[in-house]
Amino acid sequence: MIVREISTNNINQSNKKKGLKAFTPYLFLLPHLIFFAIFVVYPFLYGIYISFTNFDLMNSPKFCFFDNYIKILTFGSKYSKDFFAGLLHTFIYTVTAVPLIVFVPLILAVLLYAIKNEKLRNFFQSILYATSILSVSTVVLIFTWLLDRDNGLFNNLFMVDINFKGNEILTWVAIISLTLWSGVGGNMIIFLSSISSIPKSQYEAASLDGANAVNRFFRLTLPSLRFPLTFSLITGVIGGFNVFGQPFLFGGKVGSYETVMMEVYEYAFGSSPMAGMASAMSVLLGLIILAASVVQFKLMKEK
Amino acid sequence: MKKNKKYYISQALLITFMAILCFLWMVPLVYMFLTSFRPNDDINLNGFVLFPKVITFDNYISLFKNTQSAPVGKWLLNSLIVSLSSSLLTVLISSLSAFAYARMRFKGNKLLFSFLLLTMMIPSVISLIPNFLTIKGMHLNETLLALILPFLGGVANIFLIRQFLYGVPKELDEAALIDGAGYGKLFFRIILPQMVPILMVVGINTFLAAWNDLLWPLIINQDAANRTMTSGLSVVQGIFDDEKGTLMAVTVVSAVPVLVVYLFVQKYLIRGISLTSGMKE
Repeated sequence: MIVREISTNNINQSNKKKGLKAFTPYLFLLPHLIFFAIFVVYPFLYGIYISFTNFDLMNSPKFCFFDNYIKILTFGSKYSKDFFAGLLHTFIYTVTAVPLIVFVPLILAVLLYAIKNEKLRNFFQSILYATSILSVSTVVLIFTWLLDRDNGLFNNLFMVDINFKGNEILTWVAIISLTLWSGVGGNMIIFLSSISSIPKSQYEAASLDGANAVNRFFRLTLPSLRFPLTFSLITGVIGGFNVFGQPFLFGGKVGSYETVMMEVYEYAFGSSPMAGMASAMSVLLGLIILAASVVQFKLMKEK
Repeated sequence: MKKNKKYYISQALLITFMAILCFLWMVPLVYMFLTSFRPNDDINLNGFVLFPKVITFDNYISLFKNTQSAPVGKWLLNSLIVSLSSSLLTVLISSLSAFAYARMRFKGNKLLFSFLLLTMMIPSVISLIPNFLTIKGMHLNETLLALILPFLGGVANIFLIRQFLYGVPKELDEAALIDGAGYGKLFFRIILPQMVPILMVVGINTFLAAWNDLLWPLIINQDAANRTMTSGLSVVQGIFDDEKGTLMAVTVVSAVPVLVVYLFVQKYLIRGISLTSGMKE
């Protein structure tokens, strides 16, 4: 009898413990899941919902089906002009900045790898990467002063008179330059560490076969960089389509520098908020970003 | 012998080229530093000079005296509080969650984790307006919490830590559990110390991301006193239009903290970049 009692007691206890144990994992997940639900899942769904309404941040949103989308896609309307001008500027930025932000670091990484003195190599790497950790505001202020028409270092040192805020092309040149200055470091480190992981024996074998430096680069280095190249290209394009700070701060708030993100910002938080319209623009931009990422990923995979 | 000579020449050329490039790379920073020590009157009167003839700390002093339109001291403090707490909270929350996904058995583990990964595809722009409304609805706008909470739901760091945990031997768990330790004790006493390298990476990345974020703090905190260094800096251009020396002093103040952090944590930053790009160490 006594033995039996003890054993049931044991079973009860272990059951209780088991019940508790089954609950423990969720305790570990809970803190994150709360924030995840409130700030990741909900805003995504709600953002899409708002894009189908006439929400103005004040009155409660009224459902209006595809109205916002139709307005944006009706050529000639104000919204269509704003959105497509923004899209054009975003494209200009992405198409010029992204190739540079991938290929300049690639060249730098190859050059750095060719330096045999490891201390010097690390030193150069540290310097070139240091500017990547600065905020966009810091970088834009530095460049605004550097390129200042009257007192800037650039004009005075090279004895020229270039007004970088004078016309669109020059402004974009300045914006791309400051993007490069503060953006090549990360990709350079990615490429450098993947090049370093290529076995030395492969290079030696290629050299013995008579391949010169250029040949070795195209036959050996480049193929082994396929993954990091895809990665930096995709993150670059996503960053490019989301560009906000550089043109917002350097190009001035209105004018021919408005990117889609700036339009969204203006429409949602400007003087007369049209959050529904802004959301529709965000959703369209989001779709473009998604499509671009998928296409790039597929293209890279096929090759 | 001939090859040797060629080797040295090419190395010398390469090093010279990189040295020149690195020198040019630093020029904008140096110009910022030099200008920040020039009296504003000197700049307005004499225009450009490469090396200032008069050096002053007035720009920095007047900067920290302005507590109305550009309270830079407050911005620094705000940025420091926001970046540090974001970093610590993200490390804690993400590692708890990553531990559960990597080491615990529960219903829906794989399904839930795949769902998390899927949400990484969501373009952040769509969530901007709803998050603004949520924070405003909680009456948290114009507070520092507004700059911290929305980023605690992120998924990328959980993924990174979970990957790292697969390299930590499972025998540690079993031994501890057999010894009668609960999962809490196991996590804090045994697993957490093992995760330090990856937690440094996550912590530093989060710190810098919070410090450098522009759009969100610009939208959600618009009072001068509630800005961060980065969002504050984006509005000072108009304030110090005739005081370029002071303007560069603010810029220096915004750059120095991250550059100092960089000096100390470079190793982790560089490792973090390789990790986030999905490569092995």
